[in-house]
Amino acid sequence: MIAVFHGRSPRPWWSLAVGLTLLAAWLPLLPILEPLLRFDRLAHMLDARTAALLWRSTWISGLAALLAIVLGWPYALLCTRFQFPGAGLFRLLMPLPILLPPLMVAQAWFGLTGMTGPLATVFTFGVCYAPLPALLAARSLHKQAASSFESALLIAPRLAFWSLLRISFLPAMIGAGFAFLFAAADFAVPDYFATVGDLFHVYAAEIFGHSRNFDFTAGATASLPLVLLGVVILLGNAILLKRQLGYEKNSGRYATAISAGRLTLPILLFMLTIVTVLLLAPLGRVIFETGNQGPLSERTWLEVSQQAFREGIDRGRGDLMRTLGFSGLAGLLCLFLAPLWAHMLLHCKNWLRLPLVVLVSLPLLVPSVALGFGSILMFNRPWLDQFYSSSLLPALLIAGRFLPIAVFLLLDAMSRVPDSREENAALAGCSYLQRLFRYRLGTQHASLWLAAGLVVAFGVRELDFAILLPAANASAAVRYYNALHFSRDNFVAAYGLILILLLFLPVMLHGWWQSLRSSDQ
Amino acid sequence: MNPPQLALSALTKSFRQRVVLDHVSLAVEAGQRFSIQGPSGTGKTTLLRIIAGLEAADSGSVWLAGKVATEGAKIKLQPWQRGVQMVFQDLGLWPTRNVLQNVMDARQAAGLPHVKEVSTQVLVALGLGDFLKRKPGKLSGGEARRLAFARALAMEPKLLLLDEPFASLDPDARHAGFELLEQVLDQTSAAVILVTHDPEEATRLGGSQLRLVDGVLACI
Ligand SMILES: Nc1ncnc2c1ncn2[C@@H]1O[C@H](COP(=O)(O)OP(=O)(O)O)[C@@H](O)[C@H]1O
Ligand SMILES: [Mg+2]
Repeated sequence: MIAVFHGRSPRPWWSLAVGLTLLAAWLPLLPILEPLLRFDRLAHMLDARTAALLWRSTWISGLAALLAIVLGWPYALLCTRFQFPGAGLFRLLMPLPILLPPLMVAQAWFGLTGMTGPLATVFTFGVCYAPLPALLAARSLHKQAASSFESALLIAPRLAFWSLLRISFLPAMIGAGFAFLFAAADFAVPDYFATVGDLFHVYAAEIFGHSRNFDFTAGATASLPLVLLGVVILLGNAILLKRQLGYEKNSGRYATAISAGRLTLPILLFMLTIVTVLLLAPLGRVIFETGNQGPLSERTWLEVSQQAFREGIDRGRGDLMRTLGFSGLAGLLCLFLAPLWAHMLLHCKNWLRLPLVVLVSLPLLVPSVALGFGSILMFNRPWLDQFYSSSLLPALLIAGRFLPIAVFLLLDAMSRVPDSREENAALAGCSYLQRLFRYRLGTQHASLWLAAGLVVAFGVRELDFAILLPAANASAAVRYYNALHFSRDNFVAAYGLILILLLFLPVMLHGWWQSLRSSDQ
Repeated sequence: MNPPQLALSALTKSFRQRVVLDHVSLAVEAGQRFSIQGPSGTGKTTLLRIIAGLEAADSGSVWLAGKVATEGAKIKLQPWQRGVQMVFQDLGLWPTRNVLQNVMDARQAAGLPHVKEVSTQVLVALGLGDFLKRKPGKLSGGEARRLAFARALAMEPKLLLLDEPFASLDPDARHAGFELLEQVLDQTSAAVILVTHDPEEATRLGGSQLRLVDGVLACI
């Protein structure tokens, strides 16, 4: 045992990582991918009704992705490369909207405007997933070579501005690709808007529908088109990413922010508008709803709100603790798995990298509902009863599903560390784990904790498979979903806010930590 | 008499209490050539950046063709209003644009005539005729350098700033570098300031040789 820990070869550790991921993430995928082997069934799947549903899902998600770019890209551009009062705060707020459960955003905007139907769905997803293009664009804007920007500035300001757009265009598109995918796979939001307004169906709701008559096989099978869509988008994004990384080679300084000057006020107004749409308006509405009451009530807003929070904590505590339990376990698992995977991707042979990326990303690319179906089909067996009903199963599923986020974050962090640091350690005879955790990740601990924190946050936010899986049924997100459908508005709002605070915590802490560090230097 | 193309008067700049430029003065006539040598970290790049308007000074002033361009911490003429081009140490090519576009974008944005003809002509003259459609990331180190020079030349600058353009080249490539420098000088009547730490390069440039040490600019 000790010998393994001191071993210099990465292989045992990489095998362990692959093995654990196999268990956590890939087994439940098998039932979804199974129809790929049977062409007769495959042909059946594309009837006219399915095609119509897929088409609707496609244009709803396409418009949502477009909106995500329109909101996210300029936001990232302004707050990373222009100096104006509050730019740092706007940067800190940038990732937060993606942590808001989309269902809560839908409910808040319905409360604010009464919007329903497919366009309301487009709006909700666009708002929720705007951080994806924003964060990726911001990353590349940070990494632009100073000389590339300044050589344009020596010619014309317009050209310098174009250089900002050009260096961040592909990342924004990559983010939009993922926004498209997540929007297409989500059933809860269209389902909500179809309940409060006129009925309409999307493809993801069709998949979920199979759970009503317990036809899990049909559900898993029906997910296949979305999975294939996911793989197509992932491959497309991999191509875009490869091209983008070619643009980001940089041997000099990184470009710095330019003073906004006369544009300060317009920029500030623009940023405030976007933050209001993405964050303040939905949060404000939810806060208002904690104390909202019927016309006959005699209590004040504050009294109602306080009671809602009390109720939220009293009734929700058990579910919340359970959710934190299995999400925390998932986070811990990723704390260990993600560095190993990232390191493996960094060092593996070139031809192997893309297949590995597809494999590790697959659990995130399948609709979460499908993951639920898959794990029921795989694990609901008498001899696995203990495991099936324990918190270990949701923990593994969450770890597997959100592992790719952690892996890519760490891959980015690790590639910033010069290889020589690790190679020196290898020459000095350090064990593999020391090399990885002390020398490769030594200066990147903030990213490691952020990665684990994000896995926990996304685990808490996870609704779709939790509804299906008995072991995850008593979770915070499911309680929220049920309460929403029984119209317990004050409670729903207060409970949602408690959840949000928990979700924001790791990201805010990381942002705060980063800003402390950069002001040190 | 015409005012000098560039005049620096008592230019001073410090970073966190470290004085990098200490009352630097210099006059450069149209078409004149200067080389500046000095150990690394002394402020050569900073000096070029202040001349180009990419950085403000602490005190002193920069004059271009008789107009005040920088006065102390105030930048009076923006970088794009100065008629100055700079070849950066890491070249500053635009990675998403191909070779021809790199040059054409520049000429077009500056409103210069015959965008395509002149751009192609300059690129061919510097030996890049076969690479017009390539992205900078796919060029060799020497080719990328040629592109950076071509782009600066196509802008028909009055003043050309070269920041250690051949610093990272191995000895073999250095000779090719000198050749390139001569080709470049043949094609322009601009005043040139070349920062280098290679005395031979300075000699090849001709003109006056200066040295920047401890913030003070002195003739060699
Ligand atoms: N923006 C800046 N902030 C702080 N220090 C800087 C900045 N730019 C340059 N310096 C410092 O000023 C000194 C001179 O830098 P530089 O002009 O690049 O030197 P050279 O080009 O002669 O090698 C260096 O010590 C460098 O660290
Ligand atoms: Mg320098």
